[in-house]
Amino acid sequence: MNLESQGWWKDNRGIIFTLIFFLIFGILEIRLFSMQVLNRPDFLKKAATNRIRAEIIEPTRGKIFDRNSKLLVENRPSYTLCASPWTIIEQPQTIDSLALVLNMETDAIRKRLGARGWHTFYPTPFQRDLPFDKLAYLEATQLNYPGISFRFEMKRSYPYPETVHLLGYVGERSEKEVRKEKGRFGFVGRKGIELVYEDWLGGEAGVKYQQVDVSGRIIGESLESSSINATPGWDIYLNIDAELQRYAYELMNNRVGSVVAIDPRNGEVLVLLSLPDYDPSVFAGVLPQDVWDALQNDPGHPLLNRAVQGTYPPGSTFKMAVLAAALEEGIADEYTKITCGGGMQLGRRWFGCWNKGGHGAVGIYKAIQQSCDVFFYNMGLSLGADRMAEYCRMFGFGVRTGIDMDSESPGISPSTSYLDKKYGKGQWTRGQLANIAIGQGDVLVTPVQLAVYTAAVSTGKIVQPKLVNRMVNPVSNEVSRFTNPVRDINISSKNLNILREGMRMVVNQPHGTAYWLYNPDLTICGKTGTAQNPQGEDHGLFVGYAPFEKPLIAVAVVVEHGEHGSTAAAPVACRLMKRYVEDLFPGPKPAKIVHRVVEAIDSTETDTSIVE
Amino acid sequence: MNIVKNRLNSIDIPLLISTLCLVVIGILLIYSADHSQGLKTHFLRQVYFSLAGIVLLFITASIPPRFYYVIAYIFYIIGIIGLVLVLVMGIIGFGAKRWIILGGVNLQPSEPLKICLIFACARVLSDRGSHISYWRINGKVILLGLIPTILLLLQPDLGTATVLPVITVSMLAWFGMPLKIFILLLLPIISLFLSVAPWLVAPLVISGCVYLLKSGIRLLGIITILVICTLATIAAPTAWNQLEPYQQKRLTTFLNPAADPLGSGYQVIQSKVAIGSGGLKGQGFLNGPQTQLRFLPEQHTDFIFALAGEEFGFIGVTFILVLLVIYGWSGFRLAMRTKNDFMGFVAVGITTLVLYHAVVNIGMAVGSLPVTGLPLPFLSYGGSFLITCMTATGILLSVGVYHRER
Repeated sequence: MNLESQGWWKDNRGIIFTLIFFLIFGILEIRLFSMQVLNRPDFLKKAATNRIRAEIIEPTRGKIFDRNSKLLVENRPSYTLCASPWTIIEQPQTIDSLALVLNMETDAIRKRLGARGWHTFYPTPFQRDLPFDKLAYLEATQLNYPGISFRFEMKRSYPYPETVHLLGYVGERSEKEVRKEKGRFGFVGRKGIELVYEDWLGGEAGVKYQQVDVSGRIIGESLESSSINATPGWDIYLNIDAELQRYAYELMNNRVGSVVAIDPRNGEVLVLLSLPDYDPSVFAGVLPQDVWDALQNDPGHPLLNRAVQGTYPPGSTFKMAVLAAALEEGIADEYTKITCGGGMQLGRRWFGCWNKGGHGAVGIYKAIQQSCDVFFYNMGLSLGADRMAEYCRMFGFGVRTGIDMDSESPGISPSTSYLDKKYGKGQWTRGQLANIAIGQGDVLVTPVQLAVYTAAVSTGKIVQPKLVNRMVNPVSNEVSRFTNPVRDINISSKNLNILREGMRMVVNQPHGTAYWLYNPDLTICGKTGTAQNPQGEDHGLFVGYAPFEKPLIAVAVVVEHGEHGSTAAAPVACRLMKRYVEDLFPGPKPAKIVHRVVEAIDSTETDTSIVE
Repeated sequence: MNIVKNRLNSIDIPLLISTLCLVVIGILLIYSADHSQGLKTHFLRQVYFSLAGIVLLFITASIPPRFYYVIAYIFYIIGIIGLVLVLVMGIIGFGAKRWIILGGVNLQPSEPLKICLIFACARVLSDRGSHISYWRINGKVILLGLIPTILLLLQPDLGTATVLPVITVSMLAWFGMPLKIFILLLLPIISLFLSVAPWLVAPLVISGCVYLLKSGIRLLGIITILVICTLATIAAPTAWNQLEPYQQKRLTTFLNPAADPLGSGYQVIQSKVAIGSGGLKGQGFLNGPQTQLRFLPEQHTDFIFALAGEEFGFIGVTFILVLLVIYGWSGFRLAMRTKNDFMGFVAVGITTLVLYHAVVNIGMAVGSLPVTGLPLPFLSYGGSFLITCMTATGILLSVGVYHRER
């Protein structure tokens, strides 16, 4: 190739080189123009998410009071140790030294810190309710632990063991919930009132926009987005009478069971107690597996809220419902007399009365007063399953009462279709029917249903039990209330009066199954019951209301393995009612009316000891 | 002294001014980067380096071309020895051997070697006798470039290794080759940028093809070239996007081990965010949140352009680009004007050296090119490279000063 022939190139190469490199710079310039001028908003947005951190301001949780404004939960100040995962992962030895200080496993810390991903500066809480000595130590030596921070939090504490099932507890939000609530990581209601009224108690989180640098260090308040204060949760005033609740707890004296007391006029729940109790504070932090296992495997099932979740055969407390059905259906009336010889033969089986000696001639009052099983066998057989189930449902059995408490059980009110389904069509016997009529076998009820049922007998109205009276906004003092739905029960007042009189005689007439609790100052109406328990000792039950003249309180008591309603449950209920009516009820006491004795002959003819 | 003064009177003013402006801007940007950490160390050291660089610039500007011509091969050999020493007794930094310590000073021999190579190539290209063939000269130059490239790949320092072939090829092109071959080679390279700025590149590719068609290359050849161009167009972004993030990370960390120690692409993302959020007028000096809150990584070195983009905006970076354009235009103008063949090649080599660094660095900052870790000339913090650039500019200025000497 002849180099001298490249003359044209020699003359023009400078321009060509210059043009090529102009071109490349032109491309870069266009690129910069599109980024900085045309697409600037996108980049600004990205820049903002880079450095502006929205920090959640946790609201204070609403307080819970009883009907007399006694504080039942406390918000106790506590410190939570947090750490910024991104900073920590750059200094892994921090975890080791923290583990040493906190007596925690390094893996446990890692797991908790990394739960929301390591790629964040957002302080992740990993040790709640830091003991004060550790707090002081870490605060003083915090330079050794880059990335840690402390957060002030209100810790919930429940000072009264008798309110454990009632109030429930709060727990930590799961990672999923934290994400859903945009980073809100404070406690959330998990059980009881805390759960059911979470929307009221929880309040609304605020948000603080802060400017941070690349290591997550807060530089200052962001000026670009305005922060929002947290809205505190509403305070809740319960219908519960804390003093009465405490009294019931004492009366139960650590026995397993449940006490429910409601105001029969409006369904306000005065006592809702379940035993045994447990320590709700274990749910506040990370629940150790062994503690959880111990609670789960405890034979006393302490986590079960027996008042609404426990289902028991109602035993003889059921008999008012059966009698009401018989009266309404015209199967029995004031002149009905059934002779009890201590039992009756049904098919190949002998169905005994609890009183082996027999009650003799039994009328409707005596049937309730002395709880004659033979009378009710006959009623049950005449009524049949469906008619009994119909009246059961009328009294609220087999359906949830709608109490403002979580995991309520509906119980079982066995109809023909239910029995057909359970045992097969025609596979169940008249014996089962007879058993249902005395509240054994397939019928299952909860204590709160028993209380509603007793209230219905006392007033003729079915109430929806309500634990919460009102919610009060702590800032504006605005008050929010529910209306308690009350509906009349479809049973004539004449027949209701028969039931009431029978229940009065249980406690106030000799030979009544709870006559030993007769109190001349207060007319208590009641009914004892014993629930057959295939697993062990029978459960003792009692339902009742007082005073007879103007019912102010209706109570249901279940004492598991209490053997007899009369000895185990009745004293608890009667003392509770007496205490409420005489000491705690704020209104004027109704005057005691001396009653004429109905069916005097009927009750003197028999000779029984005063058990069930 | 008088002679020197007279010589300096004929110095190329646009080149000198643009260089000094870039150095001053660099110092300001490093001040801002230091400000974000509450430091002044990098700023002060860059000031010292700049002062030393200016002195060196004027010294090299006044040295006659004959000197460079004489020492060309010796310097080249010294440079190669330096690279070998790095491999033998170098200090490991960022996962690669790059420095040697001589008399207590950290030296990065790859930086001065770039100038040594330019001298050597320029001498080969200008030493030609009429009896030496075109291809033989080409072969020699390519060999000169290849030896240090391989040594750099061994370090490994792929970023710098790409600089040497580019310089060599650029000087070869200046030496001259048939235009159609040049365009033939250029078209696929330009096509790589088609996805970045299609409206600018597409007409160029088309007109290039039309020229090739007219200059007698057969249709089959044109089609082959078009296919290669198309492949390059598609390949550049798709190849990049097709890679798994960890593969991209591997590639970028291979190019520059220091680039990506944490999450892949983090640096480029932050750099783009910084530039994009700068807007037209910028966030203001010492006021860029990305910079001052240190979201922008390597802000005084590799990503200093992003700092400029955030704090001085589109207007600011355009000013920097204009200064670089003046630099390039002056460099090529000097190369054209000089009657000294050797210095003409030196001028082209130096201009290419500076501009290539600038393009690759800015391309990286705007996310159009992979992270290679090539610094931005005159602006990035770093003594070796600043001194190299200043010295090179001094030599470039000397081309103008002595442009009448053969």
